[in-house]
Amino acid sequence: MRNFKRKPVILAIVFVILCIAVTAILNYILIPSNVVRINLHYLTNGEKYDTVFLGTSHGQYGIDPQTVDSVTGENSLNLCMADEYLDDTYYLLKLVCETNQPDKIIYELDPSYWMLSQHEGATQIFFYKEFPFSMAKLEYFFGKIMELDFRSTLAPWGYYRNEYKNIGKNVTVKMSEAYKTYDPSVLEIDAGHYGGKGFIYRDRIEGEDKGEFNNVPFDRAAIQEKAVSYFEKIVTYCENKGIELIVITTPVPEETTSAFADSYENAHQYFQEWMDAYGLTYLDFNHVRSEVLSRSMEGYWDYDGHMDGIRAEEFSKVLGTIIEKMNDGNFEYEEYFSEE
Amino acid sequence: MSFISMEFLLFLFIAVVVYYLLPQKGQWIWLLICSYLFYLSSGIKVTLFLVVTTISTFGVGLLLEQEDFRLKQILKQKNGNLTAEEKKMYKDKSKCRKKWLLAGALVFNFGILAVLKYWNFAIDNWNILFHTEYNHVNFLLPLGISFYTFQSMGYLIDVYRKKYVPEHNLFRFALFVSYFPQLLQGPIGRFDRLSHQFFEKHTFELMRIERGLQLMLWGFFKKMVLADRAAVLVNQVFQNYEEYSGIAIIAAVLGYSLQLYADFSGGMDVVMGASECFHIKLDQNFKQPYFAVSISDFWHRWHITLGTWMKDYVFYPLSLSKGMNRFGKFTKKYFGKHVGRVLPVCISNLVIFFLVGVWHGAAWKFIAYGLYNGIIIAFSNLAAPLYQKAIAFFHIPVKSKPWVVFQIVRTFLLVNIGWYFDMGISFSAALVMMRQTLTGFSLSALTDGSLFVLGLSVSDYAVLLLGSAVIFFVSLLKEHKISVRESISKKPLVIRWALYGILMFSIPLLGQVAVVQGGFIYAQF
Repeated sequence: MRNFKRKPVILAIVFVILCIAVTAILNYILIPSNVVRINLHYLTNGEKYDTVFLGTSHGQYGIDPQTVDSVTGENSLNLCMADEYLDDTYYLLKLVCETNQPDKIIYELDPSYWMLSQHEGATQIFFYKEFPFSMAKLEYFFGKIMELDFRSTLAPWGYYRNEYKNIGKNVTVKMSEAYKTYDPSVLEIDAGHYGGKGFIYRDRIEGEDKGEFNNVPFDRAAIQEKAVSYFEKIVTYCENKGIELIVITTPVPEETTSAFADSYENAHQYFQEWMDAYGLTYLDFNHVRSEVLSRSMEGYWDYDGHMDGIRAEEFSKVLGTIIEKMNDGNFEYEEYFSEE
Repeated sequence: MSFISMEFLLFLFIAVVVYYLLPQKGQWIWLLICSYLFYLSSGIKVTLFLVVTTISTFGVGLLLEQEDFRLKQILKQKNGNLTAEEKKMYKDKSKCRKKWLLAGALVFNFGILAVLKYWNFAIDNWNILFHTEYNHVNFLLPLGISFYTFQSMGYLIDVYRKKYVPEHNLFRFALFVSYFPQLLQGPIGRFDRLSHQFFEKHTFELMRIERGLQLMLWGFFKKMVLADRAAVLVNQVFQNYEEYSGIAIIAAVLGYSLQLYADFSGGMDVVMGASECFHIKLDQNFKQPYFAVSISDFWHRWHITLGTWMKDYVFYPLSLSKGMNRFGKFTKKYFGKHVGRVLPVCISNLVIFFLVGVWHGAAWKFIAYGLYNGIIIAFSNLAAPLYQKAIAFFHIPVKSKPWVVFQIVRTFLLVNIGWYFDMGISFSAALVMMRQTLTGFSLSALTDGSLFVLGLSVSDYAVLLLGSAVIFFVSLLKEHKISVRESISKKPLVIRWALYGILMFSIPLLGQVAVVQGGFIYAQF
């Protein structure tokens, strides 16, 4: 360090500070407001939750914690979110336990998330970015974010560079009082609204085009090691914390399970074996009795199995009842599910 | 640990800071620790392969030296008491023992590489030939195994040839084999040029760090803005080749030219820039390859360290071997002086390019790619007199600019034909693509918008063209011995850093999100 010269080093530091400032500005004006921020605010606002739901967009659109709570009399929060892969779930779980002491974690399992790799780009850092400063965030960084393309951490704005037309709107929203107070009104949700505590209420639209089948056929060989490893971490973590872990798969339309009967059956068998091995309760609502819950297409807005608000309320009531019965120790599997 | 990950940048940052805080003696030890930590991040099991290669090469290097020492001792002890014949006998015996030692080490280390990398390819071919159904074996493939094996074996051959004395400190030697910036994708270093640098005193100089980071930034720009963007077009067409013809295939092949160059040379820039931060200069691996005037010239400019490795350790021993010498005399007798002189060289070249093909991967398409290059070089060597006559007959001014440009364009075309084999999903796919390039050729594809359904938009093409133009001018200046890096270094600090800022922000602004994970292409070798 003998050749140390102060002026260039100071200038280098100024340069780095300038780069950080420009990056912060670009992040602010380009990255839109999102549901993760609101959901995590619910988690960290001091309220205590007995049950937390973790999982994917199926849970996000299908589980209304307020309806569940109206049956169970408990307090629950839905942290199921689109593009939430198992590694994200694991760190979300850690954040949950850092801020709360839930009795129960209900993991909503979508088999496709076990087979596919997360898209590179914005979604990989979506959750991390909104995490409040915490040990969980630090672990998230070292466990996942470090391995990603450095642009994810150093310049996340880059993934939104084509959204430059929304700069004005983003700035207006972010400067608004509603944004600062985590009011969900700042969210733009197509044909629906933020239903509270992580739930998104999707309107039922008569005659709506529900698209085509686009589900990923189940293939045991395609199950990713990473998914398995993170699920094992989730199981171990819950065990160590004394949290009951229940795994569910939300119901998809009958049309979809009929069209891909083998795929759904194989997935059911695979995950049932898995959960049995771990001694976990697994409730696959594709096997729910029709008299308990309808899986008719009218209650979904796509063939992939995203429920609309009305069906979500019905499903949440059933889910709440099952949770309550489990709490009371009088849940009978056959009463709600069949193996057909 | 991918070079484009945050992990690598943080790792490099910590490594550099600690490096300059340490005294000279500690610096190389720190580099060794970093190198092993870097490699361990890809797994303990794969690291064992690196350790095995290091120890076996180090050990055999010492044994070779010991054999020389033993011979000297014998000759010294028996000084004056030995006849010339007895002396020769001792020398021959010693030489023979050294040969066996070297051969054993080469077979062992190249054997590891061959088994891990080519076993399943051999099984596939065996099954086809003998109608058997042997299953693939799921071997671990240590990252950078080709690079560190070649580097280590080069060292051993040099020690055998007494080019330098072997390293006597295992840990110092381990650093030569495992030096982390170059471990995954080269360049393939030489002990005499690289090793001494590790043990010199390196003091902190901001300018050096700046230059290293500048080179890394340029490498990331090439990789993320150009290579990853071109990859979208290339993957779309090469992986669905049945659906495309004519201009679409030509666009994809040209895209691959850009992708591979930007990816590989960009990777090299990152590697060399990272190394420059430690004040360790690595060998150049690229020298404006697309300005080559012949295929032979191309291979003197593209992946230079692999080419020189092949030349020093395979080509010369083969072309100067007794067998080749006899073969040369034989062909001279029957086919004349030129053929007698050139044919052994051509055959050696074919062997070299066969190996280059095999080095690129375990598939026939790579062997075809290697042989394609070897055949062109062999043919141009054999036809050189005819070529000279034609030039004289047509009074072609060989040093004129138009002729040089013609040669560059011709070579570029030949190189691009080779890419069909390199990037095609199989040998037969490459041939089909070649046929479809000609049969489905129509200029209307340039105007009917079909180029815009290959995964890239107008703005993507614009970025590719603009980026290619930047690379072209930088290369052109370099070709005329003008270094853009040097020019930038001489600019005032504010201008320099403003340029770095622009380059830095252009990466997230213009960079493509990679279609596949895995970082640089050559980091998979």
